[in-house]
Amino acid sequence: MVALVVFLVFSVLTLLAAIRVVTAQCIFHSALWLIGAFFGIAVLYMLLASPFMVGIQLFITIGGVAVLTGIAMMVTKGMVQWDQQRVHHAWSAAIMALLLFLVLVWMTLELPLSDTPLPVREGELALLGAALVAPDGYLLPFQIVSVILLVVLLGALYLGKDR
Amino acid sequence: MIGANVLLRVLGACALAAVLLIMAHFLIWSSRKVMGRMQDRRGPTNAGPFALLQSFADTMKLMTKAWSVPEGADRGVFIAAPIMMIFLALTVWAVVPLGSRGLQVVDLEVGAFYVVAVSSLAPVSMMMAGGASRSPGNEVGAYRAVSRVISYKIPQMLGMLVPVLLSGSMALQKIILAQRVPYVLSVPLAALVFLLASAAEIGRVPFALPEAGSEIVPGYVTPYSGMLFSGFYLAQFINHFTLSVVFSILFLGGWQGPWAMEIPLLGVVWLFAKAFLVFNLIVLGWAGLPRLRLDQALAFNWKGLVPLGMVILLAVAFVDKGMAGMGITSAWTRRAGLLAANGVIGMAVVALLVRVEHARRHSRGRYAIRGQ
Repeated sequence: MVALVVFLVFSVLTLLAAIRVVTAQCIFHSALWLIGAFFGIAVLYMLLASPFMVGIQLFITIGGVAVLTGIAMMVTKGMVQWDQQRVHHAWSAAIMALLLFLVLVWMTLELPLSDTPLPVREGELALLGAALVAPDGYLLPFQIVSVILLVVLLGALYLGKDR
Repeated sequence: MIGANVLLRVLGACALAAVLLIMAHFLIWSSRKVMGRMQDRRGPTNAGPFALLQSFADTMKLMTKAWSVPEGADRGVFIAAPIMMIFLALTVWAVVPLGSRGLQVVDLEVGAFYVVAVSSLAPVSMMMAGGASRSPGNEVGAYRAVSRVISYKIPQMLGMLVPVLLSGSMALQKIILAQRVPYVLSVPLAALVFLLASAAEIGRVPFALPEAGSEIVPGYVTPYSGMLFSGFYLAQFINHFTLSVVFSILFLGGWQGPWAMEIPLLGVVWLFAKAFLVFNLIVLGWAGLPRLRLDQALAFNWKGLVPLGMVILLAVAFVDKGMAGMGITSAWTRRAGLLAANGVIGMAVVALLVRVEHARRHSRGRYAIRGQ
């Protein structure tokens, strides 16, 4: 019961933040509303009894992606018009978003989901960790991702090097 | 019935927040007195016996002081930034176990990760503060603070992972219960890495770059005055105490102490006593050490703490699992093994630093010391 109330309240707040992302006048405000939307999603993850996803959402999505977006916005002076922001092609973007939403709704309805919630397992984190390093689990994708991160790091170092 | 439970939890959370905000006043008082004594002076002596009321007098001043939003600044974001800082400082306390039973808001399975994750949201509020005032100086101050915080997050996580590794869980209550002997005695280097990284995170001297108390322009905090400034100031002290508490949980055994298992409230006493010790350890750094420049602080992080943290994590993992593989089950032998590994790494680090300093003194290049 409490979970339902919290879910409804935070869903509405997340949706409002998401709407403000696209309707805010200033792009810096859009970034801040995006952070608010991510925070709402973190609360929804908590309702799904998945605290690890909450930490990931806060740490990586907000603390990484959103912070870097904000910094990039502030650093590149020409991009930010603090006063007014005309949104070009607003209607076509809205139609695309609506189509995407309809596709997602159709996909969700097609999924064989039951009405009763899944049982929460204890020790999920240990299972995740074991799956990430198990040879018959996700070891190969895990290592490939770390190689990709290494490539990104080297690229960033090269780009930032003094010449 | 459910409503009563929810109400009780909400009241408990409010009580915790209120206690923390009031405790921040005593922490400010204690840090001023202790720092004064460390610097061979008395600290504040006027307001009340032993100046106990000094912090409250300061709060009254800050509450009545005029604050203004700079012209052309983004008013909403400007005011929201310090509010968010306090919000983040208090949110971390949701997972802190204050006693053996029932004195924790929620025992998340990923408690340690949650602490690091929530404290990594501080750059958002710094960016809001720096960006909202529309002044280039404040924006640069915000970048510097953000770069410091996100850089030192890595060794903080690496240091945090060592107790997680040794106790086998990220849940803070389980980490405490796994410490028959505090981890600081088995892995002191990991504790040092975590302590230094945390001191840099919260922005205490020697890492107090943008919020430098004695500089003319304190970075992104410059345009803030009155209650808004007190938001940042309080948040910094609460963060300082929070990280002392987290350090005590991870490395000093948390609420454990004589009779703490039977009387949960006594666990609060032990936890806060240990945290107060760590708090004053960081105050010692604040009182005695000069402030680092940003490039010096970042160099210390990327060339010093991050490699050290990685080496410690690898060494602890290898030594711990190696000893388990060899069939050594005696806990004291394992602790001795870990301590020996830490000692070897520590001596290697000191030897390396001596050689680096030697090479620097005798080099003709960029890092040479003039006149020596």
